[in-house]
Amino acid sequence: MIRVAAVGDIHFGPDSAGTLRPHLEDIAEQADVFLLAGDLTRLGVAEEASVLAEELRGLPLPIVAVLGNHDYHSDREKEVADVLADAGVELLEGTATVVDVDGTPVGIAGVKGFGTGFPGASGSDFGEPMMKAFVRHAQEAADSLREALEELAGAGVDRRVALMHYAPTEGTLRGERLEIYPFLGSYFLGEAVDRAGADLAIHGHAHGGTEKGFTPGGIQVRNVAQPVINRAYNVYCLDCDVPPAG
Amino acid sequence: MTAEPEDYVTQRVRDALTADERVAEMGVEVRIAAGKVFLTGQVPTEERRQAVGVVAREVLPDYEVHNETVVTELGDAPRVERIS
Repeated sequence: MIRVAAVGDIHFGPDSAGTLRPHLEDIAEQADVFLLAGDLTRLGVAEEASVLAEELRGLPLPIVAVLGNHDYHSDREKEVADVLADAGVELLEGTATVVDVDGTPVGIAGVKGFGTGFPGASGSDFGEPMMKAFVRHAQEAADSLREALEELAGAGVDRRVALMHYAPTEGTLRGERLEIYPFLGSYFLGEAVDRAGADLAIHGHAHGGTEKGFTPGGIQVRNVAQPVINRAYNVYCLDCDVPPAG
Repeated sequence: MTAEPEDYVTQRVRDALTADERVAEMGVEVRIAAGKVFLTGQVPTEERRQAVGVVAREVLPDYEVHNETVVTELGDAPRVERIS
């Protein structure tokens, strides 16, 4: 049994102090790992990350995160990452980590990702330099996720979760305006997950979307943006032979 | 002088809610009708919810602002799903 707790888009600011930790006191009884799907801060500054760090410090389970677009807003994402790392959060960006769950290695590959949209309605690597840069950035991010997932598979890690901020599928965007789908995710991310394989894909970013979806290749996707799940976190149980408690 | 088209008026409010550091939210819905501005959506804290109204009033001082945004509630316990 592998229990994955996850949430995204908590948008921490100075006014967020004390709002999350009370809901995390028994998280280690509910889950084996805690994933954070980006937009951890409001403006992407160390002062905000410090408030979140104090809410997370000392939690008795691995915490793995990716950053989101808000965390990059002030061009200080490195400081945000450093503050969170100091509190025990492992930040991924086109990289992977392995956590041990009762002797079973569980791999988490993570990337922030980017937009561009979905088949039939996506940007193309064509035209002005800025347009090509936009699409190529999204492709490179997805490629790094795929490579991280493949590396886990190559190392014999059978259980793998893909963590990202932007959406890999349109299904979890239902509820958002169609016109903004290209700014909410990219089929490149879904393709990366489908090509490399994973047991579960988790993302945030789409506050007006839907929790449950799947990639074109049939991998289950969960949108854990906090305005979607309306919880401090949800728990996704892999290899559960019996219904989990709670 | 012709009045500013309503599309641009609402977009100015959206842009301000995104850019103003007191709010920094992109998901607040802005609608205008008969001189009234209606703001809906979820925000993380009460302070930010109040700031939504303040910012909207600064952008449109001549409009009646109805701040109907709510603070995201975190619920009692996590939902647990078995992934097959």
